[in-house]
This record gives sequence, C-alpha cells and structure tokens, in this order.
Amino acid sequence: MALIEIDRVSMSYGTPARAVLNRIDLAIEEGEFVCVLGQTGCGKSTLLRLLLGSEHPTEGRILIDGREHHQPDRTRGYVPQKYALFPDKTVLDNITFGPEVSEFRLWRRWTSGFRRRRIELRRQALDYLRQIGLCEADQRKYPDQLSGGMQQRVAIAQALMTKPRILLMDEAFSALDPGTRKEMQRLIRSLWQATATTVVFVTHNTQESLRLATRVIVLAKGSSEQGSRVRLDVRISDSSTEHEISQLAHHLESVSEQTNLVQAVSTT
Amino acid sequence: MLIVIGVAPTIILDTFNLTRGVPAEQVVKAFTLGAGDFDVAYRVVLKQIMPRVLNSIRLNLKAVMLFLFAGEMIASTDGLAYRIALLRRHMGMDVIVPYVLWVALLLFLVDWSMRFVNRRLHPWFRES
Repeated sequence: MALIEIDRVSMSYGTPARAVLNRIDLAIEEGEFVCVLGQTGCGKSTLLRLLLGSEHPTEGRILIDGREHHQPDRTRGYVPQKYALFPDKTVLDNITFGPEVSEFRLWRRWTSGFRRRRIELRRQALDYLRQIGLCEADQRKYPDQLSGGMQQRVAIAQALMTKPRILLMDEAFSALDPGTRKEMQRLIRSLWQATATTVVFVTHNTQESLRLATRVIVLAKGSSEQGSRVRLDVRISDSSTEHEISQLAHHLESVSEQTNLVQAVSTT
Repeated sequence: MLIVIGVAPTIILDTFNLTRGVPAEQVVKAFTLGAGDFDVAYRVVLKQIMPRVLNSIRLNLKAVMLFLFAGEMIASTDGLAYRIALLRRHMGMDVIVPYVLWVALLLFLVDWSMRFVNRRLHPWFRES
C-alpha cells in the first residue's frame, strides 16, 4: 500500500464554484521525492494544503498510511515559501519548538524531566544546525537577523526535528537567488537521502524539479469549470546526467505548452 | 469604569486585527510540529502579538488620561483633574500650569517605561 493515496480528489472554492482540482488520482510510495510541477494557479499549493489537512477536498479522499487526516499533525512536516519561522524565537528555539511542544504540555515545562530533555534537544538541534551549514554563533539569532537562504535552512531543520514521515514543501526555494537555490537543492537532496523521508515538493521550476525529484508530477491547468488534472507522471533516474536532465527539462517545458500532454509524454 | 469603556474597544479591536494578521502558514506549521490548540494560541499567536498589543495600550495612554480627566471632573472629590476644575473658577494658573506639566511628565514616564519593558521582554521586536 502506498504511503499517500490521493483518491479522485476534487477541490473547488466559492459560490459559484470555481474548480481548482479535478479528480486527482495519485499514489506516492514511502521514500519517494516527488515534485509537483505546474503553471501558477494550477492548484499545486492547493494540493499541498489538502495533503497537510489544512483544507479538505470537496470530493474524494486522501489517505496517509491508510488513514484520513482531517487536520495538520506531526506525520507531515511543512516548509512554506514565507513565514516559515516564528519571529519571536531564536534559531535554536525554532528548531526545538516541535519536540518541546509535542512532548511537554505547558504545565509540564517546570519539571526536571523537561529541563534534562531540553538540554538533549538543544544538542540535537546544534547537530542539525551544523548539518544545514550554519555555525553555532547563529543559534541565538532571531529569524529577521538571517538571510532568506539561512531562514529556509532553519525551517527545514525545524521540520525535520520532529522526524515526520512526509515533508511537504511549498515553493520553498522560489524566493532565493540562483546560487543559494542550488545550494539548498543540494542540501535537501542530501537530507532526503540521509533521513529517507518522503518529500512532496511544489515548484514551478522545471530544472529544479528534475534536479531534485525521483518523480515529477505535472498538473495541467484546466478551466474554472473543470479544474486542473494530472497530465504527466515521470520517474527520474538517479543516473541521469546533467545533459539528459536539461534535455528533459526543455522537453517538459515545450510539452507543457501543448494541449495533448499525455500523448507527448508517452513518447519520452 | 469610564476609562475601560472608553479605551477597551480600541484595544480589543487592535488585538483582534493583530491576531488575524498572524500568517496562517505559522499556525499550520505549529500544528505540523505537534502543537495543540493551546500551544498555538499561547506560544505562537499571543507571543507574536504581545509587543504590538503593549504598543497599542501605550498609544492609548492619551485616551486613558483624557477619560481619567473627564471622570475626575464629572464625578470625583479628589485627583488632579478635580483640583484643576476647582482652580479654573479662580483662574489659578500658577497652580494649573504645574499640574498640567506634572501630568505630562507622568505620561511621558509611563510611555518610556512601557517602551523599555517592551524592548526587554521582546528583544526580537522591531517597531517598523
């Protein structure tokens, strides 16, 4: 059984209904790195919010490990494009926030058990800090004292600290400059290999999706009556060279402008 | 009571707007990190809006003082405003002016100490 099963999911907003997603059927296996690709407004982020459980499909259902989840919880980590960190907490407090709140309710935070665990968590957080390429001096900084790239690094560490089975990333690198973006891509790829977390990464950048993913899903934008559908589902081999990837990217970009996407891909 | 009736609606409205201003992403993120409803309300929302709420209270000090003066002038037998109201009848400016200056100094000190406390409690907060 797949870890994530998206079963004929449709989503529409408002009255009169404006369809965003139309009967999406997908199965994502444990350990996959899936990039959801598509034009702006095609419903990529909506799909992610449905996976998070912060919104609910108007039709169909989403099963995670065989169960429906009706609100966000620890099984799914989340890295949004903006506002990823809590501005009132230092880097270290942001990273340890998850385990602290989930293991100790507020009234248990004055116990010696909490203090001992906190020291342990801080040690773990410092390890993560080093892994994501930040130095120890950064631990006491507040998010607004960090650059965009550093903030996203901390956000990733924060999400991974709770060891989620699924990591959902919504255009997490799109606000970064090209150099930092590449660096972040390398980082998330190595973290994914090290932790074996299932990653669903939403992006509109073809090159990025091909560089990161083991599988790319393209959503094709539909009309406001119909909504978007999955038009393409490609698995990327690890042995692909840079040249092959750029060729495939070029092909994907040209294909996404054509109407009959499915037919075009079957020739890939 | 008059002060509460006069100032509370503004502060409540400000707090409501500040709460709405907390990005939804952070609330969702907190839930994905394992936080419960109370944790989200206290550790995410309240902690973030607190410096702005304090600022809102600070900015409402003028109104607090106005309502205090109005209250003392209407129904009191004591206080600075009551004395000013009494002395006004005899045009006792030699007493009224120092009283007004005293009130201004008092307000300035309260404003300054609230700013100081806000900065100490919330070092991460930038007013801009």
